Amino acid sequence: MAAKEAAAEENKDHGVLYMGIDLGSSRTSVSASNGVRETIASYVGYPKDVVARKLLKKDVLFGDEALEKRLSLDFHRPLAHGKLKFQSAAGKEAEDAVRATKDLLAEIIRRSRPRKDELIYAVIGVPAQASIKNKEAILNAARESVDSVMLCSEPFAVAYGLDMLDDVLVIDIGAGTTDLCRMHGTMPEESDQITINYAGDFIDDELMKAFQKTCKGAAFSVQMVKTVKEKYASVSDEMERALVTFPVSGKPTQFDVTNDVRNCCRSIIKPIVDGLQKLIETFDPEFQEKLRSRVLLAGGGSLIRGLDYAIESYMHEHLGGGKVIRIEEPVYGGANGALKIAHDMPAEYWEKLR
Amino acid sequence: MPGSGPGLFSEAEVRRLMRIEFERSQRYKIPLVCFVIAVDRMDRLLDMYGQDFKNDLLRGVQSLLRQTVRESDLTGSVVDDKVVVLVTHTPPEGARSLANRMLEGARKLSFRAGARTIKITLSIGGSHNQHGTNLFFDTLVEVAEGGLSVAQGAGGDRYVHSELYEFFQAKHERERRERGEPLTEAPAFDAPLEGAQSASLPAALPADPVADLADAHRDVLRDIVAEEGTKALQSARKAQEALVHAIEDMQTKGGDPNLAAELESYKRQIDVLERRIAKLTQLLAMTEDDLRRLIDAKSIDPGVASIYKTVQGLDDATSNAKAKKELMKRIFQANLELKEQLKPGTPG
Ligand SMILES: Nc1ncnc2c1ncn2[C@@H]1O[C@H](COP(=O)(O)OP(=O)(O)OP(=O)(O)O)[C@@H](O)[C@H]1O
Ligand SMILES: [Mg+2]
Repeated sequence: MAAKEAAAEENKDHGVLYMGIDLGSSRTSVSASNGVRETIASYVGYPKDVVARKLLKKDVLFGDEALEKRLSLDFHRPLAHGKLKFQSAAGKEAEDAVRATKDLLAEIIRRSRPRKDELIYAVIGVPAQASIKNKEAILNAARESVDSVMLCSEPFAVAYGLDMLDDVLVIDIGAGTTDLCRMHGTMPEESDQITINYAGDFIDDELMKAFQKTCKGAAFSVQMVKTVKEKYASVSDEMERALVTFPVSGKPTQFDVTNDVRNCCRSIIKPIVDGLQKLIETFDPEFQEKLRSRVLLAGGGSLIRGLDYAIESYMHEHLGGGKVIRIEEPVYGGANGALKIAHDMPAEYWEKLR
Repeated sequence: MPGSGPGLFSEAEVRRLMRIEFERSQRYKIPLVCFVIAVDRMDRLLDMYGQDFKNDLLRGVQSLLRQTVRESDLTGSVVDDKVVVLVTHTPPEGARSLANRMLEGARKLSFRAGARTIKITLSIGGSHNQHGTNLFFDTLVEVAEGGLSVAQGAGGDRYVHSELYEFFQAKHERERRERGEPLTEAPAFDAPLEGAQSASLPAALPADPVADLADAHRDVLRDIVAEEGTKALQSARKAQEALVHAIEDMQTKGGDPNLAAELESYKRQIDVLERRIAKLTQLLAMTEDDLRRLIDAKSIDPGVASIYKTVQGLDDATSNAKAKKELMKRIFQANLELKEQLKPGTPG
């Protein structure tokens, strides 16, 4: 709108706020040039009816709060399941996903506490395989709160944030998908990226099955299983004993699920290395060795203890070598990278996209 | 749809037609849903583009309705910039999909205002007549209106199905009683009030909820007032009940002067109680206004200032500056392409 632009030109000469946003299926995080960092679980819920709304005292709930109250909510995980929801879902569901995405993005921007008198330039890391509809929804939502916005691929943002632009393999283990991305100094193309479904949710499903055998008669939900995973996740032979308490016929009962946790966490190693192998062997032979020895492990799944080492050993066995580095800040890796891109982007580009 | 063409029927006539339609449905147990539909941000649109444009919008909504619903099942009118419609032969489960089709249809509409193309969204509240209790027409509409205000409060572009029948029903019965109108369908005296005491009471107390007030504050306040109001109402009701008994007694026993005095005292008591309710309601409205002003002033988070005063961009001294510049350009180009692709009018 003309009015909005005019206002922006008039008032927004007091500063420039850069924002890097990582819009994940499981977590949405922001890192901004005012020092604010925020992360919320990518859940959005709307009170089901007037009574629910009254009790919850809100029109829309986000993150863990939405998860907790999900029984009284129209509950959404807008970017769930390999983020292809917009494409695959039928009309109504897709619209809901668009709306929830919109609300989620507005919320994370709000939480980064921008000043009204500053120009806001945002880079949003989106899954490499996000659909055009997906991107449209994200852009539309963002434009309501920021002055100019760009999208970039998530794994690229992670690598850029670490200044690793040349011959790097990024493994981003998220909830719905694990994204493998090959970087070689230019923008990754289609052939540089592989997406597999062996990620956090897959481990949860496997654990669910395993627990059903180990914890006979016990009652537990996927959510509980996920909590156990996030607490004990490890692929090491010598891991902490994972003891859990589930109700059996209403009575709290303890189970040892150490082996289940280890085995299920290990189940993603082979598919990941298979993917790496494909990206390595289709690369310029001269640089294959270098690529193999620069593997970055990122995303929530990289918090599985010993996973870097385990992938590395598996690569040694099957690919004849490798070096895996876990990034220091898996939660903010994508957002930090996006922030850095925003910072490095020349003014004219921002102007042109306004 | 009767009443949709301007000037065809007066608002009151359409309202009467709707009432007849409603009563017929009740009599023959025909499932029916009621929608109250509003164009989101109508106030602003009206400010910006004027009355004629508003009428265009409302006509647009009505023709959308006619495309979505079988004409013979539709009766509706425009009341206070809202479209109120009854759709017969539609069970409660059908209401949501119907409403969603309208929401979807509305998103595809575009209106011209001078050189501009305006897109709109709708908020819809809905109710139905398959609820167990006897139902008044006004109750049906008000329940749907309750849903609408929730839909609007939640940012619009959505449908909210409401189930607050007991509360509104109780309210209408009270009003009818006050006006001395027959309570033909009404159950036993106290029954409706039990319903009104439930958690659903407060949502409907003020006639015009302040939509953008922070919910927490509003609801807390409303709880307090509602609780007081309910107490007051209950005693008023008890007094009223006693009054009715007294009248009955008088009729059977003949004119006892003591009873007549008692009757007077009951009347006064009711008067006091009713005034108290009115006061509480007024108080609520006032406090909400105050609160809104307060919140308007306070809730604007000044935010946290960025460390940058000017746009940055790459410094030539950074490592890999050249490669990074190239990458920035590629990202920009990809976004520019995306923008072109998504331009309105270009098929995605
Ligand atoms: N400590 C932990 N140990 C193991 N797994 C964890 C841990 N913490 C989080 N996770 C898992 O990481 C996943 C979420 O990772 P992340 O936040 O990177 O996902 P995302 O980026 O939102 O998802 P995606 O990349 O699929 O869009 C979840 O499956 C979660 O259970
Ligand atoms: Mg991710």
